[in-house]
Amino acid sequence: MQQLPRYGMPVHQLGVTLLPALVTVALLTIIIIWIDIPQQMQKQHQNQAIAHTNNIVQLLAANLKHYDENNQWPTNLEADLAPYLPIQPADEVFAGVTITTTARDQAEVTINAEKHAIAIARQLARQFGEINVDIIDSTGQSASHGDRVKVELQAYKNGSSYYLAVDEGTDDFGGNTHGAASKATDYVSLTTDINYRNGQIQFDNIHSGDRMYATFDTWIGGGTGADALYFYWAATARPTGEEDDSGGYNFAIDAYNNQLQLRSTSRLIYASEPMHNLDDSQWHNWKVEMKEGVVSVWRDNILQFTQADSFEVNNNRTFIGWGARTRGLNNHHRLRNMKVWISTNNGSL
Amino acid sequence: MAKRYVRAPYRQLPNGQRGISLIPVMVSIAIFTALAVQYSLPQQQHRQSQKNLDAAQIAAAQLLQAALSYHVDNGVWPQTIPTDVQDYFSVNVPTTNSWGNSWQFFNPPGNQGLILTTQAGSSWSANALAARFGGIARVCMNANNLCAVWQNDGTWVYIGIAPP
Repeated sequence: MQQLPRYGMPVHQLGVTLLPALVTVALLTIIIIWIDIPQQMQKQHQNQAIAHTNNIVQLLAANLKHYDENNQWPTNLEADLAPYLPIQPADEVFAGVTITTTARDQAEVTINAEKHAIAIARQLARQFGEINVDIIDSTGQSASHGDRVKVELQAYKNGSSYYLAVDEGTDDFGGNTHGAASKATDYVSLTTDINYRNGQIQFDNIHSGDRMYATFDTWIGGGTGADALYFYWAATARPTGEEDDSGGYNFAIDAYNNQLQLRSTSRLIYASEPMHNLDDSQWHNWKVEMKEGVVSVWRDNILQFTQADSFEVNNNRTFIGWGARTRGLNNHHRLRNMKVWISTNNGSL
Repeated sequence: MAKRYVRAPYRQLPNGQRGISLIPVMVSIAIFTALAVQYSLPQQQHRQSQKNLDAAQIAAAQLLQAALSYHVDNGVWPQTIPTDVQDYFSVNVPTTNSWGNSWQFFNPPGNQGLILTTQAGSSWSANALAARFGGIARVCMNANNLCAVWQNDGTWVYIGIAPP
């Protein structure tokens, strides 16, 4: 007797199959292996490259700062760069990095970047703008698939390359003092509070060339209010007052007339509006730049003026220095941290 | 009279079409659910964590860039967020991170650079965020110090940059 099929089972079905389940598992596995895991690995690779690049960017910035403050490139990266890195990187960060001085104001940094070389090179180019970056192989030759990044560092000051020609701090001063000037423990005294005095500290045989950048700190005050402290460059002789440019430039901080003044070729080419805080018995920082026919002056990092001038500086004009003068009124005129950079185009020491 | 089979109404579909048994379907759903729970949900949580890290990384990079710009313009490092750096953002300054904690600047002594610090949502997040900045970042247990040694259990991230 033929039996009825069991209830619920189709007539021709052979049994329970796991095929749909296996297909589901297989598809999911393929998605994970082919799409998701590679995406995660790519993301991880990108993050590693970004981290590596961050290291390099900070190391390069610290190298440039070291040159800026020491007038030479670091020789021991870990020790020399420590003052400029608030979080000291682990030893392995420095292990793959070497620096070679190629010129007075240029250096070559080589980074063993392994598989991140291209990513790092691209990021560095973005970060530093006109930086010269190359990918090289272990022999130092350019190679599109090399594992090292070579960076050419050029020391800049306000966008231009310079040699540091005068590098004074707060003691043990160089240069030659004249007249009433003397080298004190922490500063150079150009005049004291005595009437009718003038004094200078001068650095000889420095050709500024077609551009110049100087920074210095001044302290003016403690007297009856005059006359002026001045900075001169490209001069052919030593000026003894703020109204004397001696054939070059003279930038004066004039507390008698309460103004900033700029002279060249025996002409007053700029005089500021009245400034009544010039002899306030406090230290102030000044920056003076001459570049592309324009003289710019900053006081405590605030731009005071820019003045175009057609005077051509030539290499016969070799005196750079600072001076001060008193007449019927007086002030202490003090100076420290004097630094002068001269053009790498045609300046010379 | 010969017996005739009477088809049960639910046993077989018309035209010889085979049906799918409920059991393999249930097994497939069970396996798929198990895989989803075991893999996909943690992946979603992971992706959320990654989004938090991405956002924190971008905010930190923007704050550090603004700090550098401030230093170039003023000769000193900024002290406070957002007051000192708001001029360098076209939109709002990120004052809190992805986990709701504030960003802070630290000025180390001397001309050593600047430190940006914040507290992450967990020590895992802190370590992951620091790792994205490489050797210039570190994780510590506490705020208000210079974070001299990396502490894996910490939740505070310190990111240092060199002076321009």
